[in-house]
Amino acid sequence: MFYRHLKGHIEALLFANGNPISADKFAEILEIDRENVSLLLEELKQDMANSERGLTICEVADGYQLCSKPELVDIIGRLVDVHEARLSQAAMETLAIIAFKQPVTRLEMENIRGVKVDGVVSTLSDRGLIHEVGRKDAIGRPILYGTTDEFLKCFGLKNLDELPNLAEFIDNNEKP
Amino acid sequence: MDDYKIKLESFEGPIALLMHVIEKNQVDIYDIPIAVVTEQYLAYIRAMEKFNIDIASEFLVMAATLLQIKSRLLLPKPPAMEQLTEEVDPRLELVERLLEYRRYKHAAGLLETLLHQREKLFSRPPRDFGTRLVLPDGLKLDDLIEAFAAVWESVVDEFTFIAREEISVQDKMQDILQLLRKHNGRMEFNQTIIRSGSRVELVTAFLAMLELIRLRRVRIKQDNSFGPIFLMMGEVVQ
Repeated sequence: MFYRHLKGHIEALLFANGNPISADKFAEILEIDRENVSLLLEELKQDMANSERGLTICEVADGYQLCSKPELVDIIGRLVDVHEARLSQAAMETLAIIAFKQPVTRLEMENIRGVKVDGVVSTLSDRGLIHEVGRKDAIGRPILYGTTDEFLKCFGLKNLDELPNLAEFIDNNEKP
Repeated sequence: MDDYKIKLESFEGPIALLMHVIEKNQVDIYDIPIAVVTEQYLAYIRAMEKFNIDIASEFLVMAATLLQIKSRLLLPKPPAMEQLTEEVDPRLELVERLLEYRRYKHAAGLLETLLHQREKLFSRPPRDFGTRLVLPDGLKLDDLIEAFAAVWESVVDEFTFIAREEISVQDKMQDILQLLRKHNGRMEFNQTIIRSGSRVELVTAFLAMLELIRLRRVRIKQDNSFGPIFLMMGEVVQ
């Protein structure tokens, strides 16, 4: 590996940015190709796993992000009271409908849940988990909703392609 | 005495409530015992009424649907209909809605799990790479004093008096008459503005013109609205 000296560069970039950085972006900044970026990231991740380090790299929202290791959640919890703003059951159900069925209109969500979803949809919007993705070609041109990158980050998903697998998983679990 | 307690969970909607009833009874969703389920569903609604919870109309619509399905299952079908149409389970539509709802309810559970996993990881919020303030180089104390002095001097009170233009209607009437004589007794109103051309002069000139008309010293003519006004010498009244 010729680019091993760039591992530190990658670590620094991840630290400085905070948000996930895509492989393309790394390739552009470091002026190396994508395959080498992936290799370097993998190696860096290994380094972090092997030694007594507190950080790791996770893949999320089509990028890589520096974060604390999951097993250290309790120790971080001692630092501060982690502020929790839980999503209600109604919000989770609606979000699930949007995530798996997107793009989807309010009416379609209401038909599944059997209740109005106006309040829940605006909560999810305010949280930045969903946004408008267009208008449906139907009477009244209703707004179509879809999930955001923030949604991927919140739920630790690499991209939306991970979702249909989940749908299958649910169907399989339903009918034993 | 009254040891009868109801723990009322709040139900988001009729489907959620119906789902709850079905799950509680552990019945097969594909073969719902409609009588039992309807009865329990209605019991919940009555309990809600008792606790003064406002019942949304959707709950009542569902209750009506359940009752309708129940009655359809009880009533014998007319023999003619039996031959014409294939037998469709009246519960089918409801079952499909319940299944779809359950699918997303499970999906919500899955998202919840993902969220919990993700919440164990802490990351930094994105750093704000905003403007970096750069202090100027090589400044000396003298520069500061100089800058202060410059500011200090500029604060000296400086007044300029702007005289207010005083044009009386009286003066303007004289103007107009003189100008009319000069222009052989006929001119345009615009031509009376001969001093500062200010709004005050314009208004004064107009008032003067009106006054002269009243005194019949001038006559005016305007061909159309907003068109030019022509002034002419009026007949001299002795």
